[in-house]
Amino acid sequence: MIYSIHLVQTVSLMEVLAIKTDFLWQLVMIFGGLAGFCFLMIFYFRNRLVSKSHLVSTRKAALEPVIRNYLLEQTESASENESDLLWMKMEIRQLLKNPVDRGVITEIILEVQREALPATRSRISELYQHFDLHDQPLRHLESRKWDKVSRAISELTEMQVSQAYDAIKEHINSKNSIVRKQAQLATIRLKEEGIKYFLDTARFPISQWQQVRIMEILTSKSAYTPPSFRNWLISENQDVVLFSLRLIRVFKQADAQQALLMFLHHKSERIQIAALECIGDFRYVPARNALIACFENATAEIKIHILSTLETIGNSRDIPWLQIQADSDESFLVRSKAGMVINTLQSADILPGIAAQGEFEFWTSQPSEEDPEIPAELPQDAFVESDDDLNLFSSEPQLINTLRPDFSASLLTIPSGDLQTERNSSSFEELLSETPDDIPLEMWTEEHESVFEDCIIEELLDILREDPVKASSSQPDDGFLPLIVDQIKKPYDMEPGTLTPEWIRELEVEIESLAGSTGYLGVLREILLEELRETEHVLETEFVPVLGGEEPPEFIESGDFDEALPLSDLLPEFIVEPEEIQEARNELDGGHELSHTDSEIGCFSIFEEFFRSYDTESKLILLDEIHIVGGPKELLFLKGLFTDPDRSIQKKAKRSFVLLKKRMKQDPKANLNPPGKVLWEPSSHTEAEVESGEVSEDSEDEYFSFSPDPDFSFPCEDEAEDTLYPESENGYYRLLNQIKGTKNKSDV
Amino acid sequence: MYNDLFQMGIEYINIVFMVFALVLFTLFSTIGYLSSRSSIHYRKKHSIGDISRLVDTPMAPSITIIAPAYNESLTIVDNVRSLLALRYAKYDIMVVNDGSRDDTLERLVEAYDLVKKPHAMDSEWPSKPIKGIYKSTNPSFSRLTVIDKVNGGKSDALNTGIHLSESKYIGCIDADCLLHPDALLHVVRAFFQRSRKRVIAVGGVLRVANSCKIDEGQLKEIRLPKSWLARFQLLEYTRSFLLGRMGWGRLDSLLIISGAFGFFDRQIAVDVGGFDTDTVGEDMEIVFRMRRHMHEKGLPYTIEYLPDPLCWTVVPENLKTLVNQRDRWSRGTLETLRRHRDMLFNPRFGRLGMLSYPYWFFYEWLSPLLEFFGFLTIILFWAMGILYFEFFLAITLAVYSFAVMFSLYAILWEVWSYNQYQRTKDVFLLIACAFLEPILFQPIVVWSSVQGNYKKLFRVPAGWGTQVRKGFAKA
Repeated sequence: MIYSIHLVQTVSLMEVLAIKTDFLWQLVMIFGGLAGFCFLMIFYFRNRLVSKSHLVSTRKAALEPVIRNYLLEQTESASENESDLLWMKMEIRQLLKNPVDRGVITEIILEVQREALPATRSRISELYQHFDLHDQPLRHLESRKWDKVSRAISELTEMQVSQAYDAIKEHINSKNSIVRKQAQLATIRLKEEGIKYFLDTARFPISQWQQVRIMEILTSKSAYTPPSFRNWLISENQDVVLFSLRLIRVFKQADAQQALLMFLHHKSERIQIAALECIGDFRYVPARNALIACFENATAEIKIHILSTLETIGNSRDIPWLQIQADSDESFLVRSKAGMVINTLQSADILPGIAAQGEFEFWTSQPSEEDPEIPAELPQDAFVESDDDLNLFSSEPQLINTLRPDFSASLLTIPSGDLQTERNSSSFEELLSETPDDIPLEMWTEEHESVFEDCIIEELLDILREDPVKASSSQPDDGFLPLIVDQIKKPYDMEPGTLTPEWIRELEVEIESLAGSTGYLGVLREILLEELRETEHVLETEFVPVLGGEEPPEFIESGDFDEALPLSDLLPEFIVEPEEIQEARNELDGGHELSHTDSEIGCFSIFEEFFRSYDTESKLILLDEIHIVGGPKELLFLKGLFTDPDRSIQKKAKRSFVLLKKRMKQDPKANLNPPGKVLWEPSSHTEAEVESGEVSEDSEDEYFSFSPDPDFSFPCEDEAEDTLYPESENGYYRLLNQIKGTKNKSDV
Repeated sequence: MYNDLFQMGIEYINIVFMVFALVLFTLFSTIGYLSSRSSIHYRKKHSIGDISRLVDTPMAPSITIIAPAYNESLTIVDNVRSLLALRYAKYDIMVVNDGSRDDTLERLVEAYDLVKKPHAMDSEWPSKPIKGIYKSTNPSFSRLTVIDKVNGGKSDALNTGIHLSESKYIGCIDADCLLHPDALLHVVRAFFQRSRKRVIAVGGVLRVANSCKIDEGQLKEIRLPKSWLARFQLLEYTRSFLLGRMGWGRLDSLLIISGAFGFFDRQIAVDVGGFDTDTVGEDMEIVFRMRRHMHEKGLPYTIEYLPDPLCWTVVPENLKTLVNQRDRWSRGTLETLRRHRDMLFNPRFGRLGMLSYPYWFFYEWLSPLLEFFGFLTIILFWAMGILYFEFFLAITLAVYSFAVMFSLYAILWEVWSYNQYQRTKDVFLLIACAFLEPILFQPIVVWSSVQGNYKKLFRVPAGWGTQVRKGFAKA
């Protein structure tokens, strides 16, 4: 009865919770939905990754040659390829407007930077900054996202953007460890004093990995003079002290030996070890007694390091003490190490195995029955000719000290037998036939060194013999210009049959007013208009610069140069002297000396065609660059832009005009038109001079010189039958002949 | 009344299963979330900078790679060659021939010009006797040391290598594993990157190399395994390594490092006495002991985990070999858990005792047994006609859909992070594995676990079993 009551009570207490299967079904639906979502996401991500990588690789394949060509062009003489460079720059700038291309170009430049030699890296860095690729990383330095900041710092460091130094060093003690570490590395890489700043200001612990990376940066710098790292041995930051000790050791600054002794008692084992390593490397013998004194209370690890140091600075007087340690220390590793040190200090054959046979097990050289099939006599080349003399069947067992290879020695890839053969080779011809690269430096003999010296001297002599003028001379090659029709060395033949077919002459064309109401252009305009009235023909020529507007530009008429080029608008780098402004003003006001450009009918600038297709920003950039590579034609082109509806283009054009003038004045070559650029030019000599024989017809001057006052004294209406041109020749061709100095048929 | 009690009992069994499942869902979801965040952080952090610059830095620590070998004659020469090609300046390799019965040693001697050399050994160091130590006469192979010893098991072989090594860190890998050339750089970075805690061990993901093309010790082409058994294991490894262990690493509660790719601070390993030779789960057990050691000393420490594909291994494609392997794993888990049972819900061990150990106890060890018990219960109830079918169906589908979802999430993560399997067909096959695995593969794992626990609980003699080495496919 009681039992039943208890059971009922138990049953009533153990009321079963109703299991709601609905909840489980809901879970099923949720998990099923999530599974479907994951399924879709797998393919979404996959496709996105594939398409992105495909896009990037395609663009990279297309853009990499562009960038590399640009860099290659830059290496050649600047004056030869300035125009090429300018076009490439413009092309790259256009590409940079696309975000994908911008990213790809940045990546390519970063890759090239990594592959480049140190001498080339600065130019690549300049290119990177020239294209303003550093703007975005500089903006990202202010970002809240640590990965953006880190990536920006890394990119700016890689490209050696030193102007970012101040912004980056603000992050040197950032709370985010990744940003902090990147900033530390950047500070050290960008400037030489960065390491000092870092060691002075580091407040956070410096991990071993960070130390490794900083060490790599410092050791890979060329011609680097490190500061005296002992100054930081008193830092409050233990990691700074530890790192300074390591730097002292790597850079071999043996001027802090007293301080090293103090660190033997430091509470940090890592600092103790670092100090011991320094003492060992610098062979600081006075530290011997201090080492022995602190051995007793040291841990096993420290003891091993002490013994390693004693191996380098100890002497035979330490052997008794070492023997005690080898016999009595509780750690096997310490005992073994002590034995090794004894071996080193003492050239005798006292070995730990023989001295304490009860403790150690060692193996004799006799093979045991359980050994695998090893031949009874190994071939001779199985033995290394080394100091260890490891002859397997020697009667005296010789224990090797360590199984660890010597990481300080470079590993050779050829067996010892071949080494022996090479050492015996002494023939000079054989040495010459071997390139030094084939032989490691450590293996060079005196003969190798003398061959090397001879080769170096020969190369130097070749360099000295090279004609510096020839090497540096640069004749501009204008073969790329689209307007070259002919490399003119003789009178240009204006045979209408070859140049202006009849169907062209019959075309209708509108003649627009030419710039400049004065000078040669003005006269020619009048003549042409007169001809039109007479012959009722219209001509089209592609050689006459066509400028918009019938009215001459107000600027030129008024001659108000100040209005065109206010000094306040000039950037510092573009400031010209007041005298130069005055000169330009005089010229444009119609001085008696006409500029070349005013007179060069039939030539126009190669920039014009591309200028038309560019957007405003690109136009402004082009105008910035034009004064570097432009010539007389560009002056005319720039003048044409003085009336451009866009005010900014007007200003830029005027600025470039002045700078180009200045450059042309300073560089006489800039005033010359290269051969072949111009179809024809008026002769600088009168016909009378040519007839009298004072000037040779074949003289280049005749065809390429220029006269501000051409002779228009020819009869316009004279149409002799036996002229060089057909009877249908009109006055235009006669005029051209006259100007050119060739004889018309009527004159023949 | 007894019927009511019986019904109540059944209901409570159902509740237990349901609670177990719900806790499993929550735990796995949390681990999945944490591992995702950890992976994203890891990728962003290490995508900046070029690690290969530091190959020969003067501050690089020395590492000894210890590779125990037993009857590995088929693949040992290639495996050693791939180990010799690692891009790192200060490392050496110790191949410990653990009493092989085939010609493993002979092949090594012939291939690498080895000669026997005498060396001192601590007589107090507990390991089986060493028959010989071999070094190469060829300077190109100066990194290689072959130790020939009496058979003592994997743990014994590793201990021999630990003792003879003089490096700061030791790496324990399987002789048939293929390492990425920059693997050691990643490992060193993991050891060095902490400033406030000492990194005592570093583990990594194991990738399945079945059907991959290998040429001269280098991985040339990654392919999905042709065998369905290997594919299921690939999915399982992806889930457990990429999601599971990354999540536990994020919590700094990782209790296991794979024996095929694990690196340890040699000093700590020696202090704890090396690997335990009395267990077949030596990789898990040494981590337990190292963690316990650091806890007891009160020293700040951590264990790092690398998600990068640095180590490739061949998984069993034969059912018998697979069952033996899982049998051994479950025995090793039970042995380790029993040895360190004082950690269970012990706050003295922090997250280790309150989180990691309970997880291993309930979900890694107990879960397969509960599954088996549940399966038996279903059959019994069905036979008795008292099966609550709706509940059974709902909970089965809930667990199944969760398993599929989690596997698909692991595949998604693999695609997003490394995208190793780029063929669409391979991705579809992996997805198919996600749907089939709970039905076809999971019962094999459960059965193996039950078998292993049975052997351990009832003291049936069992060791490592036989491993059939297939080797890598040649390019």
